[in-house]
Amino acid sequence: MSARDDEAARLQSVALENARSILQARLRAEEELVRAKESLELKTRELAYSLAMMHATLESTTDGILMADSNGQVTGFNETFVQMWRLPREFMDFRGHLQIAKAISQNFNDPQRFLGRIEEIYATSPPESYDLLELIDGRVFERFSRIQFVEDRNVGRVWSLRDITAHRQAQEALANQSERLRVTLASIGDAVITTDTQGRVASLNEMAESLTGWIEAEAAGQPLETVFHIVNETTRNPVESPAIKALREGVVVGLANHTVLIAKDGTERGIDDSAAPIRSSDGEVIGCVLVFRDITEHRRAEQALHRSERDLSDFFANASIGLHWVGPGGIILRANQTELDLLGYSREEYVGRHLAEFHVDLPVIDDILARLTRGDTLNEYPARLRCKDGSIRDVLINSNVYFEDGKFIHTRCFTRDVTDRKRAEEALRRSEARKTAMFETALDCIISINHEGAIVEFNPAAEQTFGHRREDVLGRELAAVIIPPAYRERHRKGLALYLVTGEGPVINQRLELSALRADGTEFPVELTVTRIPVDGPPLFTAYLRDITLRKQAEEELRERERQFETLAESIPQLAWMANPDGHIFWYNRRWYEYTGTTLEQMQGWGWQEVHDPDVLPSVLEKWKGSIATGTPFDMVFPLRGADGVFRPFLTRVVPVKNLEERVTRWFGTNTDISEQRRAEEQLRQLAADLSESDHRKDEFLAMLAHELRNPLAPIRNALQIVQLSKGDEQAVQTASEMMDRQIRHMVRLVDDLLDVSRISRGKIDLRRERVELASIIHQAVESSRPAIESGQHQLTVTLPPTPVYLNADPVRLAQVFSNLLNNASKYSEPKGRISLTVEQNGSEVTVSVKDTGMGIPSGMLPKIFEMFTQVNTSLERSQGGLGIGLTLVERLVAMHGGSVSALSEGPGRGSEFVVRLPIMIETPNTQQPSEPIVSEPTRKTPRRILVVDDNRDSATTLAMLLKLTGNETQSVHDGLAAVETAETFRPDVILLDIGLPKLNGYEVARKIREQPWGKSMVLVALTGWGQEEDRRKSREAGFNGHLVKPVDLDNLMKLLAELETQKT
Amino acid sequence: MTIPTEPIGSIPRPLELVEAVAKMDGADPALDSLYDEAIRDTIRRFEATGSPVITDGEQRKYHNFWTYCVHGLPNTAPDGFQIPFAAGHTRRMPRLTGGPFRYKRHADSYLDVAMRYARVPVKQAVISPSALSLMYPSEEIPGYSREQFIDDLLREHETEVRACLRKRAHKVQIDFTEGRLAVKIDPSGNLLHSFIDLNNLALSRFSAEDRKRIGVHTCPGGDRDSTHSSDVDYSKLLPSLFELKAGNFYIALAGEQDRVRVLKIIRDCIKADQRVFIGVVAPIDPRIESPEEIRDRILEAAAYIPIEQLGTTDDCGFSPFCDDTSTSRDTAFAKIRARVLGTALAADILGGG
Repeated sequence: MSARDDEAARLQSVALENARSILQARLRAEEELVRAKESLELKTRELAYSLAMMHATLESTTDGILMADSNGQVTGFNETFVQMWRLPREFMDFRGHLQIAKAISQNFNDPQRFLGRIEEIYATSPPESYDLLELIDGRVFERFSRIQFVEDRNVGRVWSLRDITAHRQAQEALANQSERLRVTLASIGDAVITTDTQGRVASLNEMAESLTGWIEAEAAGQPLETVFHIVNETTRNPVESPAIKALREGVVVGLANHTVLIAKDGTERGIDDSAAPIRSSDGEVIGCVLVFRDITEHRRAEQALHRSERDLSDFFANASIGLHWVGPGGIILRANQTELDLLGYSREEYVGRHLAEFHVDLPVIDDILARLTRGDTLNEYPARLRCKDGSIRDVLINSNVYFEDGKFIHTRCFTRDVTDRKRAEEALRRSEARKTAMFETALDCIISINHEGAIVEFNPAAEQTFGHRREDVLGRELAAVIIPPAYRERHRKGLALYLVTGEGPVINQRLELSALRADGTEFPVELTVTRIPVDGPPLFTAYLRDITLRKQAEEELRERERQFETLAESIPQLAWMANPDGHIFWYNRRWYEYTGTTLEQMQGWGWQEVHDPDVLPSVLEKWKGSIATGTPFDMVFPLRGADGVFRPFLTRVVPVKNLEERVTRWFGTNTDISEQRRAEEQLRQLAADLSESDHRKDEFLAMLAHELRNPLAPIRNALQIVQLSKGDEQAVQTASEMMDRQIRHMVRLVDDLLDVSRISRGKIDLRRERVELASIIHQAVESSRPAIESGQHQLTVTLPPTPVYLNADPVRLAQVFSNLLNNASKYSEPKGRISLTVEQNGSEVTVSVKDTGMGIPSGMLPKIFEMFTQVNTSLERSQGGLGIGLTLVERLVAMHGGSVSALSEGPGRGSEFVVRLPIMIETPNTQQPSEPIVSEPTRKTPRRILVVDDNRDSATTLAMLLKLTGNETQSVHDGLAAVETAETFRPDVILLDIGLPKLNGYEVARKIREQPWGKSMVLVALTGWGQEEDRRKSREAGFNGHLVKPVDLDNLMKLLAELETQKT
Repeated sequence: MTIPTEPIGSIPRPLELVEAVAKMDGADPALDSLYDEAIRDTIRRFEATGSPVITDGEQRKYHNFWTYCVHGLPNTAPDGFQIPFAAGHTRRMPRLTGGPFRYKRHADSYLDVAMRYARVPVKQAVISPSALSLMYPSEEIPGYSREQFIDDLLREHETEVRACLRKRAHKVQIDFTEGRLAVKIDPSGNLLHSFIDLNNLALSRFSAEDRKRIGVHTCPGGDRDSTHSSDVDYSKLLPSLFELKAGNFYIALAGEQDRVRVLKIIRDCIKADQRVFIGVVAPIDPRIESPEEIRDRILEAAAYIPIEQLGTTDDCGFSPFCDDTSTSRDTAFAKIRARVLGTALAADILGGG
């Protein structure tokens, strides 16, 4: 099936479904039609019944009735009519009314007048007409006709005749009463006319005469219509007098509306009247009284009322407010266009519908209907109506209820569309609520004033801040309440200026001013004044905030910033501050000094100028990262100084945050770490050096143990030889010499070691003197001779032709050259060549010691003078020594103002050490006399010598040596024993160790010197401490001499000889 | 004597109006000035043709003659039935999605505007209840029965027609183009009878006097120079059509191939109190008929239809769908002018005889 066929099938399906519903609707319509037909039939039957009833009525009435259509064709009559005119019954068949009237006219004296009157009625078709007919036979008939309408259609005229002959006769009697009545009537304010039963004027009172223009005499007997000529105000048609009707019907009749009385002179007056039949005592009508009054004024009022009603009707149609009438049951009866336009319905859609169909809220419409049913009015009743387009309108309904004869007819409802107003009110209400809430709860003071400066609003915050109660200040002038006296006049002038020119320099500006509290204190406030946009005189609202605390805080902040800047200026680092976005606004003085820049160059991001371009990107990346995250910045990068040199700076930047943890600024420092870097480098180097030294020290200790152990073995062997070779003098001699060599070697090792230590610690003193270099060289060569000879080396010494004098310590210089010669010997193969050459070069002299030995690797040359350095430290290649000799050489030469350098062309190529020393310029007169050489005199008298040493072996062996050399000796081992023995032994000389138990050497010396017997004793200190300081202390304690262990016996003897010489 | 002649209704809209409507909602108040100008111009040119009765050209039926009254209703969906046309295109109706059914707008509102500008009588076309009945879907809408819908539909239609009559529309013409379509869809005739019943239920609500001013128009449905049911034989439609309780019938004839056959059917079916306006110009034919040609067609018709029951009209509106620009305004008015002149010529001849 195609889509089109499918569509057609669906369409057919719908149509057929509809057809069923249409059929049902048709059936319903047909049923309604049947019901309508049945209803019509019922009505037809009812009509027939009504006709029958009417016919019966016609026949039963005493009046003669004739009915004719508008063309004058007789459509019905009753028998009374026929009988009244005494006509043949068949005469009535197929006759027109005029034909019948023509026959009837014969009963009158003036038949033509009667006929004319009938023709006039047909011609003019008055709704009603009346005539009094007097027949020739004396009967009097009243003739009355009225047009009949059925469903607004003119169906003809009914003519009725009434025989009033009997009534006429009664009028006679009535005349008698008329005079009395006339007098009575003359005195009343209303006009009164009485008539007889024929409607003829019987009397007029004065007011009636005045209004009708007729005097009674003229009017009497006149038909009332003549005297009381009234016409319809609008149509100008004659109007039947109510008196006539009252006569006719015997009831009280009011005048028809819109009736004008035409006076005899033609003047017209609106009248109001009533007529009543005058009855005889037996109730028979004998005349009529017509009472009327001039209601011209009343009529004017009525016309005004009619205009008002017409206006009301126009208002209904054209009113801008919606109007609708609601009938019983809530059906809308009527609605004006405004109402329809409001809701968008056509009249057909709205009128005739139930009110509830248009109301949104069911409870509301229930209530409205209940009220309307009770006849209540609605007053500004809010409701919501649904428009045709589905939208909803808010309306206010007012109503009034219209009753007729106490019966509810309808309610008039006025519908006022307040949708926009309601929305606006809702918006306004919300706005007011927000404003009130804001006003009441605002932390800021809100004060409003009017154009006269009087306070009209004063919120709770203002009460609290200013100490005034709102009710106390409302209406008072603002200036007098919160403005300090000094500013009041300015405020008043400013307000006046604004009112005149509309210009106000303070309007919408944020200002800081002083304000006045109720207690008279002034305080700072922040103020903003705005004009409230209202019609009429302006209103102003001021928003004030007590900024006392803020001001204090700002002052504290400024003070802190001053302190901070002072502090930042005082620190050695470069320092700066930046805004939260990284914009640097301040640098300390050191920054400008270092970089040589100005704030103008550097502020913001200008600092990039002094950065290394290669490093800058990483600095920017990290700095921007810190700004974004608020985290501290820590980085080392170079900054270019004013001298163009980049130096490393450690830069640290910390965020300064407020209480809300928000960054308020950045504080940064740049610390120059050039020196630190150098120190670190040095430290690293030092650590490396220490490591090297430590390594060399370890080697040294191993070497020291080795070097010290080497002599011990031969010494021990020699001792054993001495012990075993008793009596063998030669063997003892050889062993003794061997021991002496080994011990000297050990002493030299220890001396060198101590010397190096002393030099390192600055403890060594040079004993400078003028000395000839050649003697020093000679002494050195002698000292080294054993080693040179041992190696069978060939030593060549070359001296300059003229003596070279130095200001030097000859012992220490001899030690220098001896060490160099020993080294040359030590590192040279047996029979190698060693040369010592002295050359004078200007103001200095060079001493070169050169060998053909093993040489020095080039890598060793720079550190050959360092402590514990040896070219080859392997045991098998070891040449002995502690590796401190060259160190000692270098430092001693340096102490003499000279220098030493090592040269070598490499391993196996020999070495050369060159010492440069300043020479002393030779001046003949300054030559110092040489010291006399003191020699040991031969001692003939043995000395009494006390040896005191806590080292018993040392004390014993020294005492033995002295005894062997012819002296008397004793030895003790502590200080007290020394003093006691000295007193008893009374020695000549006491060799006293310093470090003694019980009493040290100094104390022993002092005690001995305190004794009379001790004053002349020779006291010699024997100690391991040989510095000048040590010597001074021993001198102060009373010692005569000072010797350093181990004591050489020759030196001891030489000293004792000198001391004894000095004593003598 | 005169032979009454009346238009059907629609006149092509000015192009600027068609374009504007295509860009925005046709009910947008921004279009009011364009609509107003189009109506004023249409009436001016209509009156210039000499047509004794005019329309507003349906300028403001911005969607079409069928759905103008329901277009934009919130309780409709656009996926209603499609009306297929011979040219291949379709037009789709809205579908009712919920009750109650109310017109969004009534045609008397168009009449209000037209009467302001017109100096000759104005007729107003409205859509038939049967056409709108197809909006109710095949499935029952929950809470809103088909019977309720039919009642609402009849009341809305009655309201619209009464309003037009009250506002002194010369005629109120009920567009019943779906009559012929109904025969096409359901050759058994049941659908057509259903439509007739429904429309008669509405027409029954009017007095005989009112019905003298009410007419029914049928045609094969013209749109873009095409029709939806021209292939349906009039013999299937006309006997039922004249059962409608209307005083006037506007029947497309100019486009028929065998007009005499149709005239005979009309002759056999028309009642004494009915007048038939035969179509003497064909809007879907771009050729402009000559007055003489039209005259001859009327004379031809007068041979079968009593002259006192005869009138002339156009076969169809010139632009029942507002976006149909297949015919120009100039052509439409030229054809109308030819109808007026041709009718006058025929009247002269018939009156003289």
